[in-house]
Amino acid sequence: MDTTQLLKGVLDAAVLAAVADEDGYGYDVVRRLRAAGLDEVGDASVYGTLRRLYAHGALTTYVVPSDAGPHRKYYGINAQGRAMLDLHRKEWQTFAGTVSALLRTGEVAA
Amino acid sequence: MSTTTPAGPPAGLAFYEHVRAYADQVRAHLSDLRPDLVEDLADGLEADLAEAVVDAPGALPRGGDAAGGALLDLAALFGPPGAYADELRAAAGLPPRPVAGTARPRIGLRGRLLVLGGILGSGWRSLWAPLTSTPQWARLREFLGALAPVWWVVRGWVVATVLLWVFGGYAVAVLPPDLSARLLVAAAVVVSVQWGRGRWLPRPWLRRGARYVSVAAAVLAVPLVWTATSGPAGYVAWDEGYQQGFQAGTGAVGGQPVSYVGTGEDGGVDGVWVDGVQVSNLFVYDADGRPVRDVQVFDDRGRPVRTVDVDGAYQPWAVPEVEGSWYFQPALSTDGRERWNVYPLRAVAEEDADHATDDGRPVPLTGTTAQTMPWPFLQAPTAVPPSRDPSATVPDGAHGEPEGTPEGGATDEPPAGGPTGTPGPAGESPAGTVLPRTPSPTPVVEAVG
Repeated sequence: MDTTQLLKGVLDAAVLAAVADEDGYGYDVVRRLRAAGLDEVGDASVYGTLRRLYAHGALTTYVVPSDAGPHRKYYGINAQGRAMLDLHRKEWQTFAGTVSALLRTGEVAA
Repeated sequence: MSTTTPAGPPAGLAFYEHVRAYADQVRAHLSDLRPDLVEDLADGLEADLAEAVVDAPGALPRGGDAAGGALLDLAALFGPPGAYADELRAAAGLPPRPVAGTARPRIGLRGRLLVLGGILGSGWRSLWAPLTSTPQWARLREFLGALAPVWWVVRGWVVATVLLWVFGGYAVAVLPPDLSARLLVAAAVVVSVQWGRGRWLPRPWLRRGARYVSVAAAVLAVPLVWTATSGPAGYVAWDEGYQQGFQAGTGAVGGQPVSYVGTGEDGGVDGVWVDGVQVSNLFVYDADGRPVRDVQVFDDRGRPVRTVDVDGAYQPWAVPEVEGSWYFQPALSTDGRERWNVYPLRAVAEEDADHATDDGRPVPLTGTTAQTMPWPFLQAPTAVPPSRDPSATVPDGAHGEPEGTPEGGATDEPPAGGPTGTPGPAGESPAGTVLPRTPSPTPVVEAVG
């Protein structure tokens, strides 16, 4: 199965969840998602998603200067982002349950 | 923001140059966006890239020569910069890069029209979707698709008919009257069928042109077919005669060029026609075959017979056997009215014509007079004996006053050279002998009035 296509549908939720506990900068978020097992997630996809969620008001952002290198743009979740994440969670659980049940049935039939 | 050394890379400045070059290429692929959007999207890209490189196992050559010239292939790690930029903007919910390149999109009028057409088209399609999504509709389409060859033939006929109509002056008919026009119709049908089969369209612009032609033909097909097939009975036959006459009149067929005058609005043709050729002038010979001048001609309804109608009086005519163009002139009755049914008509050469009259009709310049046109024969065949039958004379009041006849005056006395009058000159030829046409004009005898 083409998991990159599946990933596209849940990337918003995944990115929101990645910054739900701790603020992070772009590559930071990529690293967390990969650590969580989403190996195929694209860097640029994550960066674009962060910008979009920020533009939609689900994230806050701030710049942290760095002594050793270029500054870092950190993203953090806000109330709207949390509400969005909750909604994503519910939808995903419903969806995942439905598809799981369906596939399980298919397995038996096969 | 991106001028300091990278965070913790072991390979030094050369490494960072690679990263920045890659980031710049990504930005270049975003250059069609607003600058603030590009900044928003690519801000901190170098730092992210650098860190990703450091993280990637085996991507960074570690060792002595790394700082110098080791090629750091970021494209192998992140993909081509263009694809990276596309992924970035797609995830950010921004429109994809225009295909043409990195220039700012210029939509222009054509683009706007295309967009508008697309919107209207999709709206139109969705409007009919309940109908067009049914299996019956699919069957109808299939059925109509089988009729496509019929349309190809009709399309060829429409194009040929329009061409003949516009450039050849032909009336709309199922089949044009003469062979060359029929050949054109046949050729157009062949081309149309070949187009329909996808042949004979070697160039894209031809294909596009064929599409425009098809649309135009589709629009014109119904009125043209209607016109060609729904005329009254006899319309076609009359039409053919008219067309032949017109063709002869324009000099396309016959040797007697006669200027084309025009048709009445209701489809009738003004003027006098013989064998499909319009008559410009009439020449009358008496029973002995001698020319008769200044004859008034009426038809059986008492209407004056005019070869030159109102429009024709304003147009130059070509006359057999004489050069140039001529404006025919009416005779004048005693009360000063113009009489166009007195023959032979005289005419004034185009260069001697004056347009000074109130209504703009050409008249002879001061000092010139209208000339008699050459007679076709000096003497006509004399097969007909002079009638002795009293019934041949017009009974008084048989038809009342002819239309347009002035009160008193011209009709009261026979015109000079009438049936009982003196014959014209040139009566020496033996009876039945037809002399060749001669350009020598008969001296003008005083017209009526």
